[in-house]
Amino acid sequence: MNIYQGLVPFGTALFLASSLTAVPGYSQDAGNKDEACIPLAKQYPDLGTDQSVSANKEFATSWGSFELPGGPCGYAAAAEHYNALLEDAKSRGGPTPHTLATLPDWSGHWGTDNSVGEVTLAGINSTREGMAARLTSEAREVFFKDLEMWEATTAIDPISMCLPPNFPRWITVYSYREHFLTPEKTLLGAEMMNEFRRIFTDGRPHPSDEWLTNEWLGYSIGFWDEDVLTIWTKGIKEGILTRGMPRQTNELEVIERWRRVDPIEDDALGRIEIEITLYDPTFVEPWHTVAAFYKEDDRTPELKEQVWPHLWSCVEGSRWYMTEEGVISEYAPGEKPDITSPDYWFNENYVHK
Amino acid sequence: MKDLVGKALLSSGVVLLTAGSVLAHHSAAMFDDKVELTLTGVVTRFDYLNPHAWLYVDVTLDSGAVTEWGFELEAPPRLRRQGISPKFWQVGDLVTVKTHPLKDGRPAGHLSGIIKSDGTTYGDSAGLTAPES
Repeated sequence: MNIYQGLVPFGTALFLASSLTAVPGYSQDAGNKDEACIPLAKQYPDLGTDQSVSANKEFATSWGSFELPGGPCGYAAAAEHYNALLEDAKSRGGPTPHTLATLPDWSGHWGTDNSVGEVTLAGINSTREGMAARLTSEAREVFFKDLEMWEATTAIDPISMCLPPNFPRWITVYSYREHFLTPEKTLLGAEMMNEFRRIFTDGRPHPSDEWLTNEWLGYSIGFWDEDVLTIWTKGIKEGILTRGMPRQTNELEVIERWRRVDPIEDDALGRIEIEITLYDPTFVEPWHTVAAFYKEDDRTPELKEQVWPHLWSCVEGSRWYMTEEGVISEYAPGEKPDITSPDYWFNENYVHK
Repeated sequence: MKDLVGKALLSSGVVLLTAGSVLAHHSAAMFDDKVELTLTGVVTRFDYLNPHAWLYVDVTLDSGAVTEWGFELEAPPRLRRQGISPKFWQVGDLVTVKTHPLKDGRPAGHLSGIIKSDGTTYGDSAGLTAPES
């Protein structure tokens, strides 16, 4: 087997760790929100849009805003952001005590209208420099080393090994979505890995440190503000935002606001827009963007035959593995035993001890 | 060349991270995007499942030897948007496939385009002619 040596389709990447500090006005570890801050978008006007240095400004929203919540450099923490939203809802008599009859209609199947999925975190105008600018100097070093491994195909993507995509990557993955709303809990489902997020809206707080774990989807609480679902997630497992993007630590916390809006542009049946704000100790500024799911048309019998979530049978459908040389490759026919077959389960030629 | 350029930039203190998309499209890095093979054979299996559908084809080489090739396709939600149902390819169908094969030469690849003997195509079928029995 040949060890892969070459360039990924993204092009040559030359990593210069310290040079980002040469940019005027750049504060390398701007973790103190009390100091006068210069928003990243002002420091790097060529790397993105007015607000997020990596938002997809060409993605027109009906309701979601690319403006960073909490002022020019954002809130200091997810708790502050969540509580501000909660107090705002309370000032208007909320949170809204929905019943099954009053909850908004998020029924049906929804899809992501992009071919990649990752665009909803980084944006199509993202560059590595833009993403690196978001990170503390220590995290930047890790990011650069990770990128080298991605380009050498020696890095492992967890979903290729049938692990969950983690959160917030869950928002960006392609595949159908399903949403089941009740007054005290909402299930948000993704076809990929058959995963359902559970959003507790019964007023409970997150578990205490005694009981909170760090798991792929984290622990989510939220409240309804009329037809907007606000979510606060913590207890997330460390990992990667997605392939080729910076890492997230297990202290990542995410604030989301979900709302179904009317169709715009080419939407036939409407969309759900999602404002997402990421808070991580390795980010010098909260990372904010907007994503959308589009309702799939399955109104006819013919479409109902086609539009439905298939089981994500990762062991069957993913044939990736790591070679002895430490490079990711894929099984060719006959190389991987069909462990989904009873002929394998009851084959005395295999060691089933 | 890469190291020389890197050193020159380092001395000037300039950051250069090549722009362009950082979209981590589902990586096909194990497939050789500089090589494209055209193979003809008989379908033995079509697995329509997540995360990737797989099409298996018995390819007869010039030597007369038959090798089973596996071709990776997209997931069902994407296939169905392009009109590909679980029955689009049937066992016994004669097909010609364009593929970017595994770099190490094992019989698997990413399916670029395909044509059936009835002329039905999928993907980038430019340059393909329908196989005849």
